[in-house]
Amino acid sequence: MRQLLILFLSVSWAVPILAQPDTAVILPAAEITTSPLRANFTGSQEQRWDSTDINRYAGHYLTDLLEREGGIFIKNYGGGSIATTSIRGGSAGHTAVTWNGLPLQSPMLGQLDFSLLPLAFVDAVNLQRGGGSAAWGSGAIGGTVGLRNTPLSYRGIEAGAQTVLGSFGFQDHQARARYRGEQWAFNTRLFRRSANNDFGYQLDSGEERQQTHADFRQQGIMQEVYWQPRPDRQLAVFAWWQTSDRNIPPLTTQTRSEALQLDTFLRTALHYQQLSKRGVFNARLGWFREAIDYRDDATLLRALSHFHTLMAEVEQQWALSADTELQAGLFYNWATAAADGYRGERPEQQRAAAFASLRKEWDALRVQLSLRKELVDDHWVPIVPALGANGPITSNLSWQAKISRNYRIPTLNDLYWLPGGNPDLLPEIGWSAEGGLTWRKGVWSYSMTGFHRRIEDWIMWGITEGQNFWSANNLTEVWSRGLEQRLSCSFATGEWQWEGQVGYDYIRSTNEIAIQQPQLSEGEQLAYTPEHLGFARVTVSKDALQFTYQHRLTSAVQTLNDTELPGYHLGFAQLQYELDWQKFTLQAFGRADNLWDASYRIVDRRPMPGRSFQLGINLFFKHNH
Amino acid sequence: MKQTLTIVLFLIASVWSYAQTTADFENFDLEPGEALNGSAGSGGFSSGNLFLPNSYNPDFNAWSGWAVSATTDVTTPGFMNDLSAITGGGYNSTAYAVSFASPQSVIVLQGAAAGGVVEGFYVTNGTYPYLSMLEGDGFAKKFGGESGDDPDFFLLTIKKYLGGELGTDSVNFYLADYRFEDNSQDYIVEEWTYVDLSTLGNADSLQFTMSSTDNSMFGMNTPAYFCMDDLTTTDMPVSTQHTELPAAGLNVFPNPASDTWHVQWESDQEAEARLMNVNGQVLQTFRLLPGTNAIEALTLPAGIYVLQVQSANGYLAKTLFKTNS
Repeated sequence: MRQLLILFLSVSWAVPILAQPDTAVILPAAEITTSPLRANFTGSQEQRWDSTDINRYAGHYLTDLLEREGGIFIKNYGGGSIATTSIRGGSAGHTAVTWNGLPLQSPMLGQLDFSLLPLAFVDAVNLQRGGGSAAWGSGAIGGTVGLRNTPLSYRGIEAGAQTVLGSFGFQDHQARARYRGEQWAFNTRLFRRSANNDFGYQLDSGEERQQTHADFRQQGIMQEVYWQPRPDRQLAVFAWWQTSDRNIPPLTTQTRSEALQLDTFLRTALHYQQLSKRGVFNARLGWFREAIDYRDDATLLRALSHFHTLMAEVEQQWALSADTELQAGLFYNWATAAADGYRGERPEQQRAAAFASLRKEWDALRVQLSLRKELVDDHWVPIVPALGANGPITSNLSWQAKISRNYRIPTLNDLYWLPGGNPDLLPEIGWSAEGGLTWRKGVWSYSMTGFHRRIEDWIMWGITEGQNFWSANNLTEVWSRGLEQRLSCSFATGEWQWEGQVGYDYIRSTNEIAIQQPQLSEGEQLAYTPEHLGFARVTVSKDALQFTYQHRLTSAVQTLNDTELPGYHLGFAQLQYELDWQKFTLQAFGRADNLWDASYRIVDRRPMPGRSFQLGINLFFKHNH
Repeated sequence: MKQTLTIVLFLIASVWSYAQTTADFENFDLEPGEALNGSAGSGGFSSGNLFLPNSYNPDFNAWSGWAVSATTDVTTPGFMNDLSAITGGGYNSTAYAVSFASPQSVIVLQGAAAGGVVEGFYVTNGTYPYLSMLEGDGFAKKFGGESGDDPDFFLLTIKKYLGGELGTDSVNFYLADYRFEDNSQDYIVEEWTYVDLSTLGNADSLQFTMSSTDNSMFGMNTPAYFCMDDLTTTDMPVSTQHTELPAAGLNVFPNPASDTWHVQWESDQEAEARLMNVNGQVLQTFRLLPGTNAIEALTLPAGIYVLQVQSANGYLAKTLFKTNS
């Protein structure tokens, strides 16, 4: 590992020396961003986390950040196992995830396994709640999670290593080197994470058990190269390779398991950005290959699958005047996949879309209108518009509102899996509306957002009349509505800095058409969709010392097994100390997860670990040219 | 008194005089380890006086209804081993039948047994459901649950069809029963066990339904399989109207059909006809006229259907196949 790091460091440093520029260029904020008209839609709430916030979650998963501070529900099958999201009562396929602007969801499954996203490979995260299909296309129904990588914000070098050790054999090691010169910048990141996950848990009967066959290993490398030949243009290359090897633990109602899953992917992307007097031009090209190898030696089952996807996108944003911005773009995606379920066929999917957005301000009123039209193979998806607005009511109070139409196209498995794939499926589509108020005064900030969404042609696998196997059909309609509230404040008392945030979401997400198989009654809350989600965070710091306590509340959920899982409270605490010496910084931290040792389950028959501890150190070096 | 005794003796004698036929599935000459899952496109299997419908989809190598098996694997869990009985063979024999009763399966009595009484059969668990209930798997629970105390059961329910109507009486057999207060009495059937069906009385076909205490919104989690052997039928007396007419009296073309079956009824009398699906459910009842009749097939799902014809002279049944164009 160390040799590999040295190799990459030397490669990273060699290039700028060879390509020494003749003239000095002025350093702009050379961060490649997505167009603000897409990333921050007028009339909706956006939450952002930067590298400092992410740093607090060293050794954690992206899901930990999103559920503790974003207040979204993560359907987590247990340490290292699959984790999917539900935002505003949507399904796992209703969260769009972008990596530097390109969608990451698998074209086979239409969703992403969040347990495979190391936070160390991300410099900034943003969460947009609510429909975003006009900007991001398929899947942006419940919300959109954006992941971004950035070069160093200053000319110089940063290099660091981090180790976290914890209960149940948890180990997380990361190394990173970042360099930024006149024209070139390089980031190299490595991580390796493993755990035995042999935690103890308690059954309802009081019997103590120990989890078995739940160990995992993940490792990955990400290389970024940024080239800025002129201050107004930049080319970036990203490559991200990762493997994961996990044993799949038995259910609590299963004696043992021999199943395992290997996930491997390579994601590469090229991004060109050019600034002009009138606006910004972005072009992106991405090629991903991802494979899953599932095996169970006990049942002699082996399922191999993989997909390739190629994406290209161009967008231009113009500042037409001081108060009017326009953006337009084209998106193209080709995907193909192989799996036993396709019976030797290699289904392909081609998508092409055009999108545009206009934002105008009249005094303090700001209005944005977006449109997207997509062609999937030979089928047109209905046009999806979004209209949002915000403005002040008083000097402390402002309002925002948004109405949008959003969709999710059927996945390759929904369309082509045999038996049951249905090539005639329509996209899931529907309208959402949201509106809210934000109040800010002094150190306090409060926001309240209500939302309402209906999605028609919701795709489910079921048995239809005269069939004796399960098939994908546009079976139902789901009505989601709720209220989200956030309260935050930050202040100082003497040398102590205080920061606090409280959030509470009420979500009803109900099936609106009764179905026999699968059995769903009208008005029934969707499985694994809690009605109440709450979270609170308090951070207090003084000089080099920082303490954080977080608390989460999740209400009861219906499972797929005609059972209900009770709600639970979880607590997390972290103490961090930072030591600076010349150009070196050492951060040491200790943390306790599930501090109150709650016995809980997120998914039926899948136990979760009780209280666990982690200790970590993060040592880095910063040199500013 | 003497008269009554004479009548009773006469009745007993008349019952005894009915010939019995046992479907033992040995007529397929399977060697241990071999099985027939319908991939040859037979649409079903005949043994003794039974017809066991099979639906096989060659596109995805999946079967439902019935299979005939002589596989012996009693250790491999999972659906890849869905053709094995936990006994490793038939009832004192090599071959046996396996049913995937999802959601139901039926057997059709044919020949001399049509309309007669089914005496009974031997039943046991398949290796796949047996090990799933014993140890749990990724979908279905270990019976007894986490604590071992859950009152789980796996139940086979048998009903009859007679004259196109599903009977109300049923015979229940627990393939697994964990409802005992004392957990040591909990059991999963692992031997061939006799089930008496004579209480159901006369039948045209039998319907098998499975249920369990482990269910999800997608249906039963416990794998819906059971194994059968040595089903004994009773031949109907010749004097009744349940006389099987010569097969040549009823011709169907094309068969398989995608839109219409043409039924040639070689008789000078009208007859009562019923079109049933493989679950024994009557889809249509109509008069069959002498000559050529048409049966609409276009709107039916692809699969196997049974056409039952009842005339004053006797009965006749024919298996019809529907394909998607």
